Amino acid sequence: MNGFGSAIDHAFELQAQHADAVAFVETLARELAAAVNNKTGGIVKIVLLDQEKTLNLGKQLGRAFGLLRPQLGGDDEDRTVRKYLIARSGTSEARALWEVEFAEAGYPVTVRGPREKRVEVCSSAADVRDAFVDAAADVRVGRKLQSLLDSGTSEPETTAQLASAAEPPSD
Amino acid sequence: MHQASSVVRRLFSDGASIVALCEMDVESAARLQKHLGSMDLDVLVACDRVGKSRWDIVVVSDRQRVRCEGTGPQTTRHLGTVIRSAQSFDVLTASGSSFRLYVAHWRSRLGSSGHDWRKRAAIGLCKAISDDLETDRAVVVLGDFNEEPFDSALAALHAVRDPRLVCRHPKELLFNASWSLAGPPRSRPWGTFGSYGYGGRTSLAYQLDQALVSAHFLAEHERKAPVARNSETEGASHTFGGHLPLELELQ
Repeated sequence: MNGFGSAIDHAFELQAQHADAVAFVETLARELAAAVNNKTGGIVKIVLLDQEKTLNLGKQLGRAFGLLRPQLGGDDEDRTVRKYLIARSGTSEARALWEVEFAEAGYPVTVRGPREKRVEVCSSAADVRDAFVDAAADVRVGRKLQSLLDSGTSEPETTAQLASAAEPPSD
Repeated sequence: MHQASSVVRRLFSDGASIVALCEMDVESAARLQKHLGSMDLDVLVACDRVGKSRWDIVVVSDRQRVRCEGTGPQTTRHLGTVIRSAQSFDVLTASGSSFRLYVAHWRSRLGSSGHDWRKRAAIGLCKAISDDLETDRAVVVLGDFNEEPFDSALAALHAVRDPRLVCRHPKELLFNASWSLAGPPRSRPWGTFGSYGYGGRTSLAYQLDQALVSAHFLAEHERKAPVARNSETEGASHTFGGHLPLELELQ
C-alpha cells in the first residue's frame, strides 16, 4: 500500500517538474515574442507549437471522431514533449527557429538549432534562458526574421497551413 | 607544429583517410595547412569561441577518399557554463557509405571540477548520438576524453567493451574499440600501453584517447569489429603533445 502511495507521489512530483520546465519555456517564448514584436513593429510573431499540433493532425482528427481506442504510445502523455519556436509574418509564411525537447522530469531540456544539427543540453532553467538568448542572436534567426519582415502583411489562413509551412523534423 | 604536421603527413602517407586533432587554434591550423599544402587534403577548422573558452578541433581529410562537412557543435549548459561536448561532421566515403563523426576534447583532469564537467559533456553528447541512432545513422566518436574507458563519463556516453551487447542494443550503445588499450597486453605484462604518459598515482600511462563506433560497424556473424591502436608512426611518442595518436581502422 505504502509502496503504491509513494510511487504515485513520485509520479506526481515528476509530472510537476515536467510541467514547470514546460511553463518556463513558454514564458521564455512569450518574452522572445514580445521582443520580436517590438523590434519588428508587430509584423513578425513568435509562437511555440507542440509537435502534436505540427505533425499529427490525422491522429487528432481520429481522436475527435472516436476512431482511436486508448493505447500505450498513442496517448500524448506517452510521447517525449517537443515544441518548436516558429516565427511567422502576417502572411501564411512561417519559419522554424529552433526546437525544444523536455526530458521525462523536465530537465535536462535539449535545444536543437538554430543551426541545423546543433544540439545543446541544458540542465537548469537559467541554462535554458542562456541557450535561448544565444539562439536568438544566431545569424539564421536574423535572416529568417528579416525574410519575414520583407514578406507579407495579411493574416495566416489556418493553423494547419501554419504547421505545414513550419515543417519541423519528424521523429 | 612542424613535428605535429610531420606526424599528420606520415599518417596520411600510411593510409589514413581522416585525422582529427585537438588543442588547435586558427593560427596553428593555418600553419598546419601550409605544411600540408602539397597534399590533396581538406582542412576543417572548428575553433570558434564558446562561452568563456573556444573549440580547439581541426579535422583533416584525404579528399580522394572521403568528403567531410562540419555540421556543428554539441554543447551542454550547466550553472551558466557552456561545456563542450563535441564537434560533429558528416563523412561520405568514396564507396558511398556515410557516417557522422564526432570529435571531442573534454576538460583536463588537472581541474578539480573536471570530472563532473566531463560527465555532463558525455550526457550532452549522448543526447546528440541518440538522435542519430534513432534515425539509423552510423556514428564514429573520436575523443581525447580525459577519462579512461572504464570511467563513469564513458559509461554515461553508453560506450561499452562488448560488441555483442552493442549488436543487441544498436540504438542505445556504442562499442569502445579502445578498451583493450588501457592496460598492458596479456602476453606482455611489461609492455607499454595507454595513449598518454603521465606519472599519476594509479598508473604511469592512461588511455584517455578513445574511438567509439555504432553497431553499424560491427559484423557479429563474421566476428568483425573496428580495431583501435595507439599509433607507432615514426615521430609520435608520449612526448608528442603528451598523447600518442590513436588509429581507428573501420572494417
